[in-house]
Amino acid sequence: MAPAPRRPRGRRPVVLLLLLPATVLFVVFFLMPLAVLVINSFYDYSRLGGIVQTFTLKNYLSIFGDMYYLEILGRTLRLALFAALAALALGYPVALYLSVATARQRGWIILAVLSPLLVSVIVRTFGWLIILGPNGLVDSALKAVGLHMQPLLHSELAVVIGLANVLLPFLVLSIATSLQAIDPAVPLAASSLGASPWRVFLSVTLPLSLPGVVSGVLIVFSLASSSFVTPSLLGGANYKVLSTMIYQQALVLQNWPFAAAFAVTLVLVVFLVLFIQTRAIEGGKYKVVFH
Amino acid sequence: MITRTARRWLGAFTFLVCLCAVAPVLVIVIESLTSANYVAFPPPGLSFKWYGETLKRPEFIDSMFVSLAVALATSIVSTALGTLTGIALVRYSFRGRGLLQSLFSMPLSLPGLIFGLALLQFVTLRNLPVNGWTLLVAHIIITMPFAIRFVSVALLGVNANVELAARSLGANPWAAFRHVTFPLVRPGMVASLVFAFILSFDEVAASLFVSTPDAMTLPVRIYVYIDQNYDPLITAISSVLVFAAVIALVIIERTMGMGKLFGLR
Repeated sequence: MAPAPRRPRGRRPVVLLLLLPATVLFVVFFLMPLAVLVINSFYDYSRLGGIVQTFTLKNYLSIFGDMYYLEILGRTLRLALFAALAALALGYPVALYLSVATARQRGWIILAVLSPLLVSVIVRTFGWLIILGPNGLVDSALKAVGLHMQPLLHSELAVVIGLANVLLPFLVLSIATSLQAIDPAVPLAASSLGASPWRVFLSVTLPLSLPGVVSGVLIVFSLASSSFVTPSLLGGANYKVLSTMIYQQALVLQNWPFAAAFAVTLVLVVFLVLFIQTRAIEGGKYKVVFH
Repeated sequence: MITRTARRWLGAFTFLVCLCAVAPVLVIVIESLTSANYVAFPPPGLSFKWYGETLKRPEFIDSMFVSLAVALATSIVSTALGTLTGIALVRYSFRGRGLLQSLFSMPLSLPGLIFGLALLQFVTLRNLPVNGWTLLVAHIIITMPFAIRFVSVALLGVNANVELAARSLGANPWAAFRHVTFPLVRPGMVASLVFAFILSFDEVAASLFVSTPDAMTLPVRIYVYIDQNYDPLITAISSVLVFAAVIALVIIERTMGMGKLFGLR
């Protein structure tokens, strides 16, 4: 430790001055809006008068009491789970290959996997619309070999494909980071002690990479459960998840209290996942991004 | 630690995944050159007509400028605030530091959609106008955690004693910052500027709620258009965004590298 320096005079005002702008900004335009959202979720709504400021549990009771809305909640969780598993199935081998690839290959793989992050999710989703839609890439290819199938677009599968693609980089980053952290001497020791390459992978590399797998899957799960653009465009008008419900209630039907209640429900889902994550491995959601 | 066949299969699989990763972007750029009036892949013929069509759509050009202005302002303000906050959080210890740290990283875990909805309801409740400034505030808050993080990481790498040395040699706090700390945290600030710009330029979820027809960012304009129409116009506009991303990519690769920006060695 450095010897305790003579504290510069006026130190407290300096700290205050440094922190004041960001703190004021966050309190006024982040915490207060969230408080308003939570309060609104307990208000009533009338089609003529808008928000009715009387306390009611009506919004939550209908979300958790109505089969239609429970189904939406279940669909959101299922979609997020499928997206996370699909991204894992695609991402783990890539992360593994990254750890054995030559420097040149590594550069190309990182470029291919990460550079889509620079393009807005709306553009990438539109790309899938052209691939999966009527007269799209898949449709044309199937027609060329004489097969006629229902277009994949506007199905849960299409949404899972789109989400797996959009969220793949987060999973690869997470797993690659934990594979990088493995001391190369450990698998080497295992194989010098006579373990077959498969055995080395199954009992050394895979267990050591599990923290990255768990945190990657949870990140993708929480991002997928709150994704809006991909389910809305690839799922079609009848594919309803929590995020599309929030959008519809807030901006189409203008029922802000109900939209707020859906939003609070979604936040609870995301925070539950994050809570499990911080319990499972310490560190926040973007820890992998920054180590 | 891997057999040659396993490695070959793994390589082939990785190649396919990489292809799928860039496929949507490639498909859009190819489709933007279509001569047809409808979306069909592969395009029946080639032409630049959809790019010409784009120029006839003033609302998209306006949105492009809104996006650029908001992203530029976000990147500068967020990095400036992030630097001040990062210095305070890393260099000083005070009561409530942990609390502030969690406050400033909260936007990371809050879905943008919900923040947008909350901000819209708050602004309306307070009878404040919804305009370009609302967008800017939203984007600054969304990018701040990254700005603070990038600057803090850079600052943690700087030995605090070099500042003390400068101070003990008679430099005032400002001079010590200007000539000693600033050059050392500059890489973190550059990363923050680039990252905040890209994040703001691509943001959709929160912006959907606080965009108005007069101040609508390009991704939101595209969303609203695709929601109603399905024609190749958006492929041309999206391709422009892809070319912008390629420029950003070249800048990142020249300065720090994609892998390093995202924390890979």
